[in-house]
Amino acid sequence: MIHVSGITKKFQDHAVLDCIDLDLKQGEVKVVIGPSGSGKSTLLKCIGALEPFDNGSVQVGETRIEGPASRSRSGSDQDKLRQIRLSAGMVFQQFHLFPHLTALENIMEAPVQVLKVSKTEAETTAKKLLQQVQLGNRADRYPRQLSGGEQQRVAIARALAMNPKCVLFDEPTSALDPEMVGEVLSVMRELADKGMTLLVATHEMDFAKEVAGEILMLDQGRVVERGTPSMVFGNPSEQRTRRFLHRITHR
Amino acid sequence: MPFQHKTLILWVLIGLTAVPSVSAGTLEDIRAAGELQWGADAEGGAPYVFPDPDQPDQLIGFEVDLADAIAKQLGVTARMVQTDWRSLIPALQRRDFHIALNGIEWTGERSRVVDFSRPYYIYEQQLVVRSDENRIRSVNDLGGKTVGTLAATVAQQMLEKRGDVTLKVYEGQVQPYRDLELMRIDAVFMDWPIAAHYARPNPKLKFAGAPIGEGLYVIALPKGDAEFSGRINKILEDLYADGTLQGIYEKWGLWNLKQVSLRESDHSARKVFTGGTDNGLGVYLPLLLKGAGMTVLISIAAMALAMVFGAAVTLTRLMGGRLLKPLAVAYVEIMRGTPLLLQLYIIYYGLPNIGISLNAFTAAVLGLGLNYAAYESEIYRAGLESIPKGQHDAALSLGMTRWMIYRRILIPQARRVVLPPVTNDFISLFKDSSLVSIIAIVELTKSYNMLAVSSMKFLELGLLTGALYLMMSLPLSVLSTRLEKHLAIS
Repeated sequence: MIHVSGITKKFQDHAVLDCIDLDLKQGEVKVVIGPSGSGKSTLLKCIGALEPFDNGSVQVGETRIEGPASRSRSGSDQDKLRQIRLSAGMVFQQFHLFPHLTALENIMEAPVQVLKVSKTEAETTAKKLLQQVQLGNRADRYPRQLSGGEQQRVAIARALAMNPKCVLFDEPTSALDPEMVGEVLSVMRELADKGMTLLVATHEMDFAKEVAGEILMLDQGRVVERGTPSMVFGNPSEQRTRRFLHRITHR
Repeated sequence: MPFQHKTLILWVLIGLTAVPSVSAGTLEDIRAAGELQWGADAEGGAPYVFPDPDQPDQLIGFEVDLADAIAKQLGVTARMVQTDWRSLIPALQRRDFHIALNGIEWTGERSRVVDFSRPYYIYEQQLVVRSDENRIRSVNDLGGKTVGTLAATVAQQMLEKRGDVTLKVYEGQVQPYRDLELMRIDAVFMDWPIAAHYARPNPKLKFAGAPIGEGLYVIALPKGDAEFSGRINKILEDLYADGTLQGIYEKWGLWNLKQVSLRESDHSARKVFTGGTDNGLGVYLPLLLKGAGMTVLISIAAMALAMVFGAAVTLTRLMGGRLLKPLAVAYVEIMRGTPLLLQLYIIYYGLPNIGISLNAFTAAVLGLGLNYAAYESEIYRAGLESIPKGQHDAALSLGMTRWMIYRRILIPQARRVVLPPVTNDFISLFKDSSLVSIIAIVELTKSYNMLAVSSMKFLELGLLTGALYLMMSLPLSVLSTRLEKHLAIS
């Protein structure tokens, strides 16, 4: 489903991503951990075709793009990037709901505009998705009238409305008050249970232990450790991983 | 950028600070100063007072020679005090100079606020048409025609009194003849000395009929200083008697037999034009309202153009390729970096040189609209750039195309941000529309100018005009404030 091979992204001489490999099969859930600035967010944005990279390749579904082509303006490369964006749903740390649209309209917007689905059909789907994220009664609220946790659940529904092959979560609970983290994680858990392919950057270790098939520890743009949750959490081989886990669990 | 209504403010100030109209001791002032300070406007042009084409720092003209001759009789030197022509009378009331000498016509309205000397020149009005014109042979053929004249002159009042011509009122003496050549107007009706200097040598123009409407050029003197006016009158009488005046007029090609009457001391029997009676403000209101209508029309049309074209410039700047982007940037810098007044001049008077002759209304709307488009485009750009980058990322991740992101996500959000500054800009465009009077459009400020100068009611009409502007701009201000509050809540 997702096949990342040797992806490298440089900012001047500094490597933000340094030759990262990553594979996700259909229905797999993987979690990326690491200190802030380690490149988690950049990695997700490169996979989701929101940021260009320099070397290596990203494949989502059937569409594959090489580093140099990710910067290209040519029509065929732009089509590929768009194909990848359509295949990979994206959920952001800061939600990024459209403030001028209601919850329902946020979810309907892209299906109607991009997929040319009829409004009635899009509305039916959107309402169903709102039910699924436990927000059936919030359809007509604007984002500013929703709590952070509610906004993030609408954002998840918005991504799902495009029927993506996988969903990338970029620290989805980091901007939330602690009491709202649970409601978002439970929606994500549900998605995993339904067999959705998920790649999640998060600091929620319990969620990672419970749901992830593999944990990747990123530091300074490199994968410094990878393995099952019990391996990484139980017996980390790297000093850096140990220090990071210590900081996270003792904050 | 807002351009101030300098003239309007100036006049209101003049009105407020005008000294009571009795003055004395002007002769002592002149002696103490060692010079005769005379007010005139060199911008008014030849052959009165104008910069010497060979030595532009020197002023020449028949009135320069006359002022020198008078000063000589007073035993002092003459110094011209540059003053906007239409402010000459109020400036004399303020005693900015000792006399005003600049083709000032004797009119009843003016004689109420200043004293006048005996005439120093007897002028007439000359009708000028294009050389190939054969329908207009004299002023009798002017019915329904568009006629140009100089602002605040007797010629303007004569045309206004006829009521059957479309009047185009100009600030300068050259522009009406130029518009006549460009076929923007059908004829020009102005003082004979101007016609003699500018139109007579031009092969594309010709005089139509004999000069008419005799009038007197007089020197405006401080009100109530009998000693001084007696002295000036005596000097003028002597200058005529010893042939000095004739010499000056012959030198400038202005001498004719009419001037012989200058030796007479009583001119009260002469049929000089008087503009009319002392009217109440109610008489002027309909004319001001008509000007206000033009102001509204031009402002709305120009703002619509500014908003549409400004949006096009913004999108070109944000989405255009390597070729178009710099063009959009250059457009904004050029339009913001040069005065609107200059742009209006170029659009109306300059473009005909390359074969593009626009009518005044089109030129006004285009000038204001294109200028404000630059400001609008910067507001829009700032508005779009104020939207967090995450909005773009989110829309992009949903598979939206670039244009779709602008249309559906960024522009609707930016629209709310830019509404208050755009409303503010509309208010300042509304006020800047007064600038288009320089291309002979009669909007509110121009109407005020014309009426105030002919009636001398600078203060009363100024306050009335200001009130009209406020009545139109205040609702906009209120709307702008409401919008800001509304957006702050949401």
